[in-house]
Amino acid sequence: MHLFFLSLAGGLLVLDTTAVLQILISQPLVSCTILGWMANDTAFGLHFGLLMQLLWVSQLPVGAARVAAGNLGSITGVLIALQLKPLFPEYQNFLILAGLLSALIISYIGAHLNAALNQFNVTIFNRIFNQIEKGKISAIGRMTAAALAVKLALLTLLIYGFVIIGVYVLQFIKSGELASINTYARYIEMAVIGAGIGLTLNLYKSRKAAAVFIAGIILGILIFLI
Amino acid sequence: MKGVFRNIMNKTKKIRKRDLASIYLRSFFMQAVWNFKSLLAAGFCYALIPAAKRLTSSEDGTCAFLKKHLCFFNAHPYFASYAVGAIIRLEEDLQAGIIKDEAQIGRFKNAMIGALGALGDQLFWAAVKPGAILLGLAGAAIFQDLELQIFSILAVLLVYNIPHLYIRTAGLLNGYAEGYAIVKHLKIEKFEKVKNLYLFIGAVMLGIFSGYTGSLYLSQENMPIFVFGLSIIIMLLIRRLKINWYLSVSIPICLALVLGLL
Repeated sequence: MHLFFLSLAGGLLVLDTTAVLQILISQPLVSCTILGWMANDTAFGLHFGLLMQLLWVSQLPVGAARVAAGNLGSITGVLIALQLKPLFPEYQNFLILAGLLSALIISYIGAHLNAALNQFNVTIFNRIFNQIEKGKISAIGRMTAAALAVKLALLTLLIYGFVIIGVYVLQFIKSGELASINTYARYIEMAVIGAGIGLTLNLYKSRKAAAVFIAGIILGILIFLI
Repeated sequence: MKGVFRNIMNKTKKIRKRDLASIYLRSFFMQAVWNFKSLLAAGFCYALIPAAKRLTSSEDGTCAFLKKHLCFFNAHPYFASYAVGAIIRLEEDLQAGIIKDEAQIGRFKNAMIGALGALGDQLFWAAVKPGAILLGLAGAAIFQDLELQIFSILAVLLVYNIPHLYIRTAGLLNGYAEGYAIVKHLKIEKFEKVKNLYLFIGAVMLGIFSGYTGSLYLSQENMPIFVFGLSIIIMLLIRRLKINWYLSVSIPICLALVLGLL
């Protein structure tokens, strides 16, 4: 599928984060798998989504708190990795590292973009208010659609732009250097999963939860042994 | 909920089933125009449009109705349905002359803000969401077959959206059925069992995921389990210091790259 349509699908998935539905399809585990499937590599999409998911699961979007845009970052990261994969199929660690670093950068930019969009929505809200004062009820529906369209367009362009730039820059890495980076990055998955577990443990601080967590570890070891 | 629905429809009310259905669908756009000035107000009004049209006889009346609700409002997006339902009921009672003081509706709406936000944050963001996601993560990590892994992801959506859709539906219907009395439903004790269930699922699934991946790395060489364990410890220590999230995540990544150089 063409990268633009993948970016558009990514933008639509990101809308689920806060703007519409909120049925969890924007979470990396789900969205990266969907995009992997659309790009004919479901297994890689799922694997990347699994790695990214733990990093963001403990972030609570409470009130107006500015949190890292993990869903947007993961979607951009997986698309960069998916675009690079046909070029460097044997360098899995490099692909994960490239996707991960892109995801972190975009999640930071995305947090600022969200704040800017929320500020832009003040203008939309003021327009709704003025239109209602003039007796135009349909303005609420039109302005809501406009706010969503602007957000979708910006998200799609951001994803598309960063994937193009990311792939353009990374494809020039020489094969010898790629092999080295791939070797250096061989422990990256362990670090990401470990960091994700460490972050997520903050959600289960009580003594009861800790006991359940330890019981889960034993169960996990048993499952592995079986 | 069926009983609540029957009660609603038995009353000689202006709001019809199809109005409630339309309001329900519109509630999924509650945060579409989320902004720093009025937070959820635009989405709240967008959901109220079918009720506003039904409860008022002229376009001016509909505009006055909506304008009244275009003021600051905040809530958890799912729990906002309780406020939507209750406000429709109160506006209906106002039109019918049961409620005399119009300002009381505004005060009631403002009084609900804290409860609706706190309940949703505690129940969904801190318990249901991590619980459902960790269930899917554990399944995706344990199963080797892609079909089973995808099944785990579908399970995430199912396990999360059952309480999600229930709250949206029950909130709207109960709010509309009970009006002011809806506040008795808005206590964390009412949702304690669900919250504890999802906290249990989350903790046990995080444990299974950790135990399984840890065993997997242990079965390889020494370094993978060392990086894995060290990353967990570093993260636990760093988070206690309340260091910036990006910096905290970067440290284990840099450590992995440095150890990769060895």
